[in-house]
Amino acid sequence: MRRMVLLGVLVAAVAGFAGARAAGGDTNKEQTRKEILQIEEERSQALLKGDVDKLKRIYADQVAYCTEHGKVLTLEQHLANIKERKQVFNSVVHKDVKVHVFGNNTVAVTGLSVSDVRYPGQKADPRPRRYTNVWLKQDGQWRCIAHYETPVPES
Amino acid sequence: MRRLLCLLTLATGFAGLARAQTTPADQAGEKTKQEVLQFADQQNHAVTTADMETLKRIFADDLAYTNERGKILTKTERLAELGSGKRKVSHMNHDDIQVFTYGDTVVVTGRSRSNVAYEGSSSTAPRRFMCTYVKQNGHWQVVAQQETPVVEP
Repeated sequence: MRRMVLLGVLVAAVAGFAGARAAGGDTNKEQTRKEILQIEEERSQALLKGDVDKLKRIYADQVAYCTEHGKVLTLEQHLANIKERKQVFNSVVHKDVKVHVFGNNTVAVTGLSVSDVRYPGQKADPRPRRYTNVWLKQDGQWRCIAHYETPVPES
Repeated sequence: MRRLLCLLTLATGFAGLARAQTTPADQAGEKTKQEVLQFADQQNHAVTTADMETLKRIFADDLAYTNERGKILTKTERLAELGSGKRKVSHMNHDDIQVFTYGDTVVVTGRSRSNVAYEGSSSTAPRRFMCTYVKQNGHWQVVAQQETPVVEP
């Protein structure tokens, strides 16, 4: 009988430990999700204000950046466009945002952008754009290592 | 004159040595790059042959995939499209490949002119692509992928 009780206690302890570990993993994921949504918001605000210094800290030096026209830009080229107002954000509106967490340090965010973005001297493109931002945590800081956009054709 | 020649030889030697020296971090980065390029080859082969078993292992369960028409697909939807032949890639043609390594996270970008048949039409129109790979438990997986049509100026 005593052996049975001991076994029961052991099983309960193992189950509790496993449950706590799973809950810990969920808590970590939730924390990561919060951090990412926060930095996504900071990026949106920096684009809106044309805050190039802030953007420089948000993007990795080697960010893989592609515009909705399929044009690949270096970080310097993207920041120059913002600074010289060759690309102007009148509003930043993101919908259908999904956060995909992979391990401790990599996150992909997808969404639909209906932001009002103008390229002065060029015809405005009102089409919404699907985007992916890939984030990596290095030395305690999240950095955007890839940003790709794809226009959604009008149906 | 002889002294000048000696100095020149020495300088050339140093420059060569500096070029030849690679740090352990460089070597690790190069090894990762080769691993990922090999993995990307397997991925491309599995896509063209519609090898579902391999693709199931290659794509992460929570894959973030956006196709060239701005359509988001889950892993299940992506596999279903390739498995049913709704999307058929008959010939892979990639160039301008760049690999950005960040330890166990790697971003590969490039231009694709692959022949893709999708929803009744076939195209080799150029598309920019980005594929992000993460190594977990010793295995690489695709975690994010997006394609964007190139608008010719």
